[in-house]
Amino acid sequence: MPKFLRLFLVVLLAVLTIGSLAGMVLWKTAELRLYSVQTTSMQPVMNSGDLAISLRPKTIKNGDIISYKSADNATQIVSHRVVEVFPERGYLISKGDSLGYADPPVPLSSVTGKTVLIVPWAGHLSDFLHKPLGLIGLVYLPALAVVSYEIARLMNRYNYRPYGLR
Amino acid sequence: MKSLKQLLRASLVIGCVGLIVSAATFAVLQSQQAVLAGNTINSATAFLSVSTDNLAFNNSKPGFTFSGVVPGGAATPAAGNPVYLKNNGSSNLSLKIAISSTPTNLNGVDLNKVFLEISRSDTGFSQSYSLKSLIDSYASGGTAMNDVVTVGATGQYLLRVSMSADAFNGSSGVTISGIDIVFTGVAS
Repeated sequence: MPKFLRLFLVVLLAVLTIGSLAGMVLWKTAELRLYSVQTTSMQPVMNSGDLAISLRPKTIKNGDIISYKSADNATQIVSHRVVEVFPERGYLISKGDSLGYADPPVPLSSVTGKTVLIVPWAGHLSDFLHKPLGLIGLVYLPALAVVSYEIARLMNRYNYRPYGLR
Repeated sequence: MKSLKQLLRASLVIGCVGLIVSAATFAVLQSQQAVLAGNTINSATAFLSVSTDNLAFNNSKPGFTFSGVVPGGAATPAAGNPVYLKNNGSSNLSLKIAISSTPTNLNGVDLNKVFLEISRSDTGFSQSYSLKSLIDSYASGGTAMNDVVTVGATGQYLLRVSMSADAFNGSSGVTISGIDIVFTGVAS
């Protein structure tokens, strides 16, 4: 294997490993969540196909972009900007930047996170990974290839040949 | 010694790959898609809530489909579709109305000649607006309704749709759906 390719793979593996570990720790400790943006209601800040990364909010103030469970469908997550917070009444008012009207009042208990980072286009990757083909093609097959390569190297090293291959 | 090193290396790589695969699978299973639900009757004001049954008030509600609207015929439905607007604030609200998106209009009806009639029984308020004018007025905050919902009150409105005789060529009725009505309350 060429040296540069070997170096690239080592760095990639290290980055992915550290990223995965950090992601799992943040998931547990800071409620890290990834949301693929599906609509244009937050243009120009967020476009359809972007990935919104959110964490558990310590405080919520006007102007923050929050994610909350829709009152109509708790499985739907809406990411909109906070217009006004009424802590004493236990809810806030939010609105999509490109919409002319506000959302229904959002109970503070429905807020799932505050957007801390928007990654352009990465939502498309997330959407693709949601499909079986995407998960198999981008995660499972490359992983299988790497593991197979390592096992083949070990077998070669120990001169091990499975029965029938001798 | 070299064999042990290779064994450790392989174990490390396989362990890392396993971790990455687990994390990716977990993230895919847990992550959700952010969406905006398409509501059709909305309030643009925090303290103005809407309802279609006078029981459950919210800032947005699923709206109506107006079927069988005949060119030149009577406004439909005859009884009207009820919409309740409740003022939860501390000042009277003058109302504005708009349509936030172009309705589904498969039959190519001229929306300048299709009218949304809105009336309120307790104040006698009644007004008619072309759908096109309501769509156009959305960008400027809506069309004034010349009606007020006082503090703590609930205004009961009825919505009907009619169209001019030349709005559409055909003998059968047509259907216009997805009329996204937005009410705004301006403190007065």
